[in-house]
Amino acid sequence: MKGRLALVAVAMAGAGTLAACGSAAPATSTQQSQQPVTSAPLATSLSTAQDSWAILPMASSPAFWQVFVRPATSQAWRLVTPSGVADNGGLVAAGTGGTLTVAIRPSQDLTFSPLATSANGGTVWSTGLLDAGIASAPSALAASGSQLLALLRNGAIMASSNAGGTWRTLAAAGALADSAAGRKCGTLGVSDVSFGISQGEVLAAGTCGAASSGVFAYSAGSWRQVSLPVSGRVVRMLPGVALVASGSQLYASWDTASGWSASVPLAAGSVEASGSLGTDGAWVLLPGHRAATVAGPGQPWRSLPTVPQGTTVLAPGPSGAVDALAVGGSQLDKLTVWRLAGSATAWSSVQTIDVPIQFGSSS
Amino acid sequence: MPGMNSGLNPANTILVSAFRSALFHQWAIVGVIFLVLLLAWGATRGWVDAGAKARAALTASWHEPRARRLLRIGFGALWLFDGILQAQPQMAGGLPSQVMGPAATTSPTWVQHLVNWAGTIWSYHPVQAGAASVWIQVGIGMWLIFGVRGWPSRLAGLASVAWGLIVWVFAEAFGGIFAPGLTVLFGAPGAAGIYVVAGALIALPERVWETRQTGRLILAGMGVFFAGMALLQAWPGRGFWQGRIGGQPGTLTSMVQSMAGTPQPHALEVIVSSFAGFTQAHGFGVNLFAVLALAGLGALFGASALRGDARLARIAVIAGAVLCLADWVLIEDLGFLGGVGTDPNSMIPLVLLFTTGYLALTPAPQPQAVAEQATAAPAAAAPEAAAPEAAGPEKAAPETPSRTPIPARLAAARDWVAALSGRSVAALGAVGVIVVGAAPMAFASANPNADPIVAEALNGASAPIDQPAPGFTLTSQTGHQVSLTSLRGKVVLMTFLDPVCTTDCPIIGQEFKAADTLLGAKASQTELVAIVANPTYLSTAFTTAFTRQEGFGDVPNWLYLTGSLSQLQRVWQNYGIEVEDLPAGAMSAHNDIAYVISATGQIKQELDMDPGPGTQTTQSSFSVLLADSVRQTIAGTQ
Repeated sequence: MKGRLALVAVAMAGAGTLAACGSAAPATSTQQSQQPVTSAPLATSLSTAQDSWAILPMASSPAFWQVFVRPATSQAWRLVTPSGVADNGGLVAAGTGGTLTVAIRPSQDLTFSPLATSANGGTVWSTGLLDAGIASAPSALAASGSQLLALLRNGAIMASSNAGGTWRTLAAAGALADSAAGRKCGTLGVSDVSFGISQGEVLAAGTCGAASSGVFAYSAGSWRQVSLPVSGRVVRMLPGVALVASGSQLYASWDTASGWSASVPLAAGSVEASGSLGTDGAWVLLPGHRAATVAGPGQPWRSLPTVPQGTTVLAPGPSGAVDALAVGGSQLDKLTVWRLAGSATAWSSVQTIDVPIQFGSSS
Repeated sequence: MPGMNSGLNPANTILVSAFRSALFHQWAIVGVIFLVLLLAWGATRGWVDAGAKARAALTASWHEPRARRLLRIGFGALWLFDGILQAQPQMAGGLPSQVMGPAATTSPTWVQHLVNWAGTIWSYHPVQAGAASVWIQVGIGMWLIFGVRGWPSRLAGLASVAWGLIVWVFAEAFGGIFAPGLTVLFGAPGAAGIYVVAGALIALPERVWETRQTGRLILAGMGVFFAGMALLQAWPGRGFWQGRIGGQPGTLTSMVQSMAGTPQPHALEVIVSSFAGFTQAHGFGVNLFAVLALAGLGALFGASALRGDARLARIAVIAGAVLCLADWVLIEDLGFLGGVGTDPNSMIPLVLLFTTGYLALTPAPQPQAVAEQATAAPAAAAPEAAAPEAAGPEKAAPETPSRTPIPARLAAARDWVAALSGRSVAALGAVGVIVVGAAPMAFASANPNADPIVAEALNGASAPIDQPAPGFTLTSQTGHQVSLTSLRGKVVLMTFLDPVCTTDCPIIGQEFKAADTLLGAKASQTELVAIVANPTYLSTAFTTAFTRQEGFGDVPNWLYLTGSLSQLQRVWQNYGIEVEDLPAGAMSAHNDIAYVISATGQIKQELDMDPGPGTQTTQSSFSVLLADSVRQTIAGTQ
C-alpha cells in the first residue's frame, strides 16, 4: 500500500511544486550587495580582428554550450568548442585583437572556472585558470590586449595583466556598492565588466535600484560614475559600446572621443540575446522572433524579418549580411545558419552543422 | 531528503542476492530456535507428573472471548502477511526511495526530516534493515497468533503497538495526516495506525473483554472516525468533488489512476482503470456517495454504541464491510501489489476492528464443556493456576507445595515449562524470531557509515591481485617530484582524477577523504594519491585548484600528481586507464579505478570506483570499502 501511496504523493506534489515555483523569498540587502545581477542571457556573438564568434547552448537538461567561428574571409561557420572540460554551466567569452578567451562557468561540483584561449580561430586552445567561479553574464569577462577582467559570482572583480596567468582582486565583493559613487547611485550589484576606450580604463556596470544601472570607471582605487546619455538598465557592455534598456525602449550607446552618444530608441520590451556589439553596429534578438540591427552611431535601427524558428543568436555575416544561428525542433544536435543578405527580405538557410553532442556524458 | 535514495536500482542483483542470503541464514537460525525449544519442551514434559499435563490441557481449552480472538488472530495474520511482503526482492533496496520518501513528500518539513533520518539508516544498511522488517513482522504475527492469553499475549499486543508506531511514523509519514489530500478512501490515517489501535486493545487486561462496554467503546470510536472522515471527504476545495479540474484529473481520479498504473494482474487493472474513468466522468456523484456512505456508517456505529443495540451494530458491520471491501478493490487496488507493497492497506484492518467491536458487544455464552471442566477442577479455577504460562513460575510454585525432592523453585520452573501448551512454545519462539531480525539491525544502525554492500552492488566486488605496481615519477600539487618508490613503506590508495571534472572526480575525491578519516591512526601508514586524468587541463594550477576545491589542504597524506602529457600517458597506459577528450562541451572521459598498493609496492586490489549516482549512501559505502581495503592491505604487509 505504501508503495501506492508514494505514487499518489508524488503526483500530488507535482501541483504543489508548480505553485511553489511562482514565488521566491525576497533577497536580503546583504545578499543583494554581494550578488551580481545577470544582465542578459549568456548566448551571444562577438567579433575579433579576423573572426566572428558565436557562443550558444545546444540540447537541454543539461545544455552543452558551443563555440562557433566564422573567419572574416569565409562564408561558413565551424564548431570549435574547446575540449577537456564540461561546459554545461555556460561559457563566457571575450575577444581582443585576434584572440578569444573563453571562461567555463562552474557547474555541479566544479567551483572554479577553467579558461581556454585561442589566437588562431579556435584551431588550438591553450588553457588557463580563474580559481573562482565566473558570473553568469555575457559581459562577465573582458579582454584588452593581455589584460583580462573577470566578474565573479560573488560580485568581486578580478584582473589579470598576463592573459589569465595570474589574477589579482581589483574590487572585492561589495566594494563598488560600498564606494562613494556606488552609495550615491545605490548600487546593489555588478552586472558587467569592460575596458573603456582609453588605454587600461576599467568599467563596471551595476544596478542602481530595480530598473536602472550606473556605469562606473575605476581609477587609482576608486570608482566614479560615468554619465550616459540615457538612463536605464545596462543590458550588455563591451569596450566602447553599451546596450541600455529604458522602459520599453532600447538604445545602443557608444563611447566616443567626445563622450557617450545614444542611438535612436528601438521599441523593445526586453532582449532575448544580444548579438555582436561594436563600433560597427549592434545586433539584437527580441521576443516574438523579432530582431533588429543598428549600423553605428547616428544610424537608425533596422528591423529584420521575422527570424527562423530556433534562432538563438544573431551574428554579423559576410559582406554585410546578418546570420541567424538556430537550434531547435527535435534535432538538438544540429545548428542551422540562416543568412539575410544586405538587401534581402527573407532568411535563407545556408549551412547545417552537425554537433557531436555526447548525450549522457554529463548530468 | 538526501538520505532517502541510495540511488541503487532496487532490483540490483547483488543487493537482492545479499538480501536473500541474509534471509536464508536467519531462517536457519529461526529453525534452530524452534528445534531447541521443541526438544526442551518435549524433554521436560516427560519428567513431570500428570497433574501438570492436565493443567496444560485445561489451559489449552481456555475459552478466549471471540472478539479478542478475532482481533488477535486477524492482526497476527496481517503482520505475518506483511512480514512475507517485506521479503519481496526489491524491498531492501527500494523501500526508502519508493515508499518512505514519496509518502513524506507532501508532509511538513519536520516530518520529512524525521522520515529522512530513518530512511538514511535503512539506505545505509539495506540488507539488515530489510531482513529485520521481515522477521520482526513475522515474529509479531506469530506471537499474536500463538500467544493466547496472559501476559505473553498482552505483551504481543504491546509489541504490535511499538512496531506499528515505528511503521506508522517512518514508513507512512504519520499516515499522511499532516499532508494535504487526506482521505479514508485511500488509507488514512494509515494502516499501521490501525495496527497500533488493535495492538493496544489486545494489550488490555483480559477482564476487559468480559464486558459489553468494550464493544460499545470500540463501536463508538468507529462512529466518530467514520463521521470525521465523512466531514473531511465533504470539505470543499480539496478536489474530491470534481472528476476533472481544469483539464486535469481530480484528486480521487488521480489517486485511482496512479493505482491502476502499478504492476498488477490485468483483470484487476481493468477494474481499477474502469473505476478511474467512472470517477473522472462522475466525480461529484462518486464523492457524494462516499460522503453519504461514510456519514451513514458513522451514524450507524454511533447509534449502535449509544444504544448497545446488537442488531444495529450488525447492520453497521455488514454495510461497513461491503463499503470497505469495495474501496479496497476499486480505490486501494488491494494495496500490496507492485513489488514494494508492504501491506494490504487500511480497509481489511478497519473491517477487523469494527467486527471486533460488534463481537465484543455480543459475547457468546461460555461452552458447556468448558464450564464443566472448570467445575471439576476447582483447584485450577483461579486464572493464575489455569494458565501457568500466564502466571509465571513464581506464581505457579504454590500449586506444587508437596513435591520437594529438589528445590521448590526449580521444580516450579520445570513444571511451568512442562505445563506450557504447544501454542505457548510457539509464541516463545516468535519472540526469538523478532530477536533474530532486530539484533543485526540494531548492531548495524550503531554504525554511522554505510554498508560496503551498496558500493559492491554498484560495481561488483573487487578481486584480490598481487602484482608489482608500475613505477612513475610525477609532480605533486606543491611542485615536488614524487615517485612511487619514494612512497614505499606506506600503503598507497591511488586513483586517477580529472581536475576540472564536474561530477565523478569530486565525488571520488570526497570518498578518498572520508576513507582517510575512517582509517584513523592507520591513515599515517597510508598515502592518498591521485594522478591527473585529463589530456588538456593538466598543469599544477589545476591540481592545486582541485585540492583547494575539495578541501584536501589539511590532509597531510594527500598527493595530486601530474606531469607532461607524455609522462601521464605512460602512467595511464601502465595502469590501464583510458583517457579521452570528448567534443562539443563534454567532460573528458576516463575510467574510474582505484588501486590499493602495498607498502612493498605490490598492487593488492583493484576497485571499480564509478560512483554511480553519487548519493550520500553510495559515497559513504565507497569510503568504507576503501578503508576496509587499506586495512586489509596494512594487515597483510605487517
